[in-house]
Amino acid sequence: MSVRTNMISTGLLVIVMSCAATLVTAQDDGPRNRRRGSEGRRAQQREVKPEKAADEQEKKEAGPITAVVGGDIHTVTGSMIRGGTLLMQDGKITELGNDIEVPEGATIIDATGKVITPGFVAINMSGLGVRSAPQKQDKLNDALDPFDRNMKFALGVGITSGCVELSSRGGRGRRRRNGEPEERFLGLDPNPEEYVTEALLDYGDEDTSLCPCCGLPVLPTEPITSRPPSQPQPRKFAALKLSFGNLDSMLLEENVFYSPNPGSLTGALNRHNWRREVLKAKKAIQAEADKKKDTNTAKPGDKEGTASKAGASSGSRTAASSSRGGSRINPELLRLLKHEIALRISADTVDEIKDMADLASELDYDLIIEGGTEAWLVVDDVSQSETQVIYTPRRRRNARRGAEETSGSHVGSPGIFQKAGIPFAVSALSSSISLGGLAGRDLSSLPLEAAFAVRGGADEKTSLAAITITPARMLGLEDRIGSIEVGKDADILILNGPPLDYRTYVEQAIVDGKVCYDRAKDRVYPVFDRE
Amino acid sequence: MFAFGRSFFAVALFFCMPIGLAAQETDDSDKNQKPKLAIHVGKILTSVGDPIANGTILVSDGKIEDIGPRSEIQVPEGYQEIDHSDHFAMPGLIDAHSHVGGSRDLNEMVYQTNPELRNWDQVIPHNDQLKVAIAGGVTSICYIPGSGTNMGGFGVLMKTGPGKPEDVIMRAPGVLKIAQAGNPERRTGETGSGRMGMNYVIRQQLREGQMYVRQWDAFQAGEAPEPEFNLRLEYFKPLFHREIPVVVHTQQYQVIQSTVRILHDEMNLKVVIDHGTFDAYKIGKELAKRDIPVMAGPRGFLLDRDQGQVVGIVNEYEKRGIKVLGVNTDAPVIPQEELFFQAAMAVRYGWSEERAIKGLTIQAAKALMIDDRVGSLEKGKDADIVITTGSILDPRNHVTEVFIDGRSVYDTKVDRQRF
Repeated sequence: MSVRTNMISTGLLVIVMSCAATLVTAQDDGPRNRRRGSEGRRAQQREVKPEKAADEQEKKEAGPITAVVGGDIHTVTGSMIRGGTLLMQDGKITELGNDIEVPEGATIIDATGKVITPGFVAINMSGLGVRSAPQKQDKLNDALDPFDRNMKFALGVGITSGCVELSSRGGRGRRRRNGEPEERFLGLDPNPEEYVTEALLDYGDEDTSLCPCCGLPVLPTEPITSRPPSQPQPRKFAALKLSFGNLDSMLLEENVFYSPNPGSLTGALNRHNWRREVLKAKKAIQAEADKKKDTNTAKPGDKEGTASKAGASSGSRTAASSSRGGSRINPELLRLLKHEIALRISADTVDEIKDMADLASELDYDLIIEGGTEAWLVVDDVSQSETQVIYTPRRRRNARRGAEETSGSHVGSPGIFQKAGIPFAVSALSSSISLGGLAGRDLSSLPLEAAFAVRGGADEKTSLAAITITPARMLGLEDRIGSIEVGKDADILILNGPPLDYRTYVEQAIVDGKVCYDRAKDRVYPVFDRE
Repeated sequence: MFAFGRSFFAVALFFCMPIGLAAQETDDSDKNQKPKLAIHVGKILTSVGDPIANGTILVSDGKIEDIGPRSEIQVPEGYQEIDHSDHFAMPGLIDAHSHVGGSRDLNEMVYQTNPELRNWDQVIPHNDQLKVAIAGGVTSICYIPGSGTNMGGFGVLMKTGPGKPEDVIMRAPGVLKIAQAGNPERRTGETGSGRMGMNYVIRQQLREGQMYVRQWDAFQAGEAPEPEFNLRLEYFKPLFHREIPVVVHTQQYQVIQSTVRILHDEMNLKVVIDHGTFDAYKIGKELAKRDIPVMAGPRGFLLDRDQGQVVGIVNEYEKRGIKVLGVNTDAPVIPQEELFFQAAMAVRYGWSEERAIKGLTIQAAKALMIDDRVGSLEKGKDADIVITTGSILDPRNHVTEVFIDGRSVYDTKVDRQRF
């Protein structure tokens, strides 16, 4: 009986602590995320969640406790705990430290001699948990597949959550769909991957060509050029949790970015249109705020109206009807300008990066650039505009002839970013799990890609953060994933070595407190003991 | 007609020994530029014996003059001392399958077999790809024609460093490239659209070559009149004399079976399995019995569809007793600089680190039959030395300096870190 009351009180304590923890996280974010601080989405969540949780708490008792004991815990946000204990309950981390007493009846996982880290967060993920992008009316939740075996291959390298793109696009597949001519070499089999039934590698936006010898896709290394202007067509992203076998917890968050297509903010006309859109949206936000102030006393129960409606009503009716939805403001744009989400866009050349950074500073929104090939050349612009970077250390583009020191990629970029205080998330060379046989180049190489960031001069801690807390912050989900802290989701890895060592295997991956992957049982990767 | 043939013969001979004539000339003019070095290293992985802690490598005239523990090596006067006492040293890495040694026009596909083709006129020394390759520790590559036909032509063994083509070419002809199954299949209905046809054209061409070589051998032995010169078949001479190997684009169990049967058992050639991927490792014991080297890649694993489990290909060969075992990149499929990472992934899937280091160096050299010059750090061998911050297999470490033929060709103290 006393144990039970203990558990309930622990549960309540957890809720209190989790609130405290999230507040602490918000404050700890530092200057980088101050704009995404207390007014953001997380604050709103906090308003609602504790109450709801407390209601549920009254209805059902707290679940069983699992304890992971004896491992060296890399918390990522705090200091390392050697031989620590970690308690989990109801999918959350409830206690953490060296002198934690394991409650009676708790399931104990012995992690002595093992390394514990938070589950890795893949900022680019595709073909995982959601097979086909949902069409317009379909709900993402209905497209999720909690038994997708590919998830095991991702969990097996430590990826417990990530960001999927929902708009269908990417790489060679996209070019084929659009009916553009395929790159082909005379006399070669039009389908050179004849022995491989799955797509070999999804290089996303990369303009891949095929190897003249064997027909496999080859990453380009020639110098990059700025993209020509193109029409805006925002991409959609959602954050998923790889809770294998558990559909309920798979969908973390929809619309985690405002993401215009690369090229849609380049060119004078595009930029003019973008400024106009942003100013219009800002007016709408202002109007909404004014209206709220006016009607605050009159209708206290009225929840915040949908932003898009407010935008439409504040805009000119005639304009709206004449230009067929032209004045309807994208709700994601409003969230962008309220600093609830960031703008994510590809930018590789110095020109593109500077332009994007200038626009972000001018129009006051949070910017994440993807690619960032030449960002090392303009670190001041990047850091001053508080731009974050999604970076792939092994992605190499040659310098332009005669501009060897001032163009192209630089293997030392991660170290340069770290020195300049630029937060970067590491993305693998490909966003999908590829079982065609090329080793260490698909999504399953994510921790190895972070190891290449160490090669490029970043320290181990920053490189580990680049696949945990940094992408979590980009997604606005740092109160739930990306580090080991009391109150956060119990997404934990038990590793048989240092997290960025190429020999290390995940022994168990725990998602929301449940063991979703077990190396010895699942046997998706080779199982052996290294002498 | 005769004179025409003779002049071609002379040209062909010249290219058979390019190092003989051209390199000697540069040797004379560059003698002063080949420095005398004493490189002090924290740990030397020699690829032959045990690692040497706190060792010294003496380099002169492009060769390793002496190597051993620092306490036992007397540094003669006039040697430039280079301190890498907090670093590792190892032999330069060797890629057994690469297409980035020069221009990429490596497929001539009118005929199904092209023994008349050679790619050493295509060599572009120290090109952009090779500069980065050096930063990944790669000092020698086997630059070969593509697999658009069953016999793509003769490839070349070359160093990745700077210089004129005749400086960097180690052996030409270096290897013959044969491709079985997959890419060279013809879809137009002629012979060679299936494996039966492809195996026929390969056998037919090799037989023709064998006959030609036998005729010349008989002439040389004074047993037969001089045969008519045939440029198409000329390079078969070193091949059938087993002085150069044939590197074979071959993969899958059934195809490797035919590789063993035709190229090894029937034709008695020095064979190197140069892909050996998918389920080909299952024939490993037959390869081991015949001492056939395997340079596996670029694919490093197979998904066993029955078990749903990833199987590391290199380790499977190891289990079946393949002695001369390594990896390749098939660059540009895997960037040339990531040769070490191919081995690292093999280790991740179960291979041993010690074998991986040897696979990247001495085993590849043995497979390509250049182990008299490169592949290990030993007295008398080429001074191709890679200095790293730790084990090259760990991506967190990087290459800090590379010596090729005794010259520093990349140094992060001077150059920007390229990889």
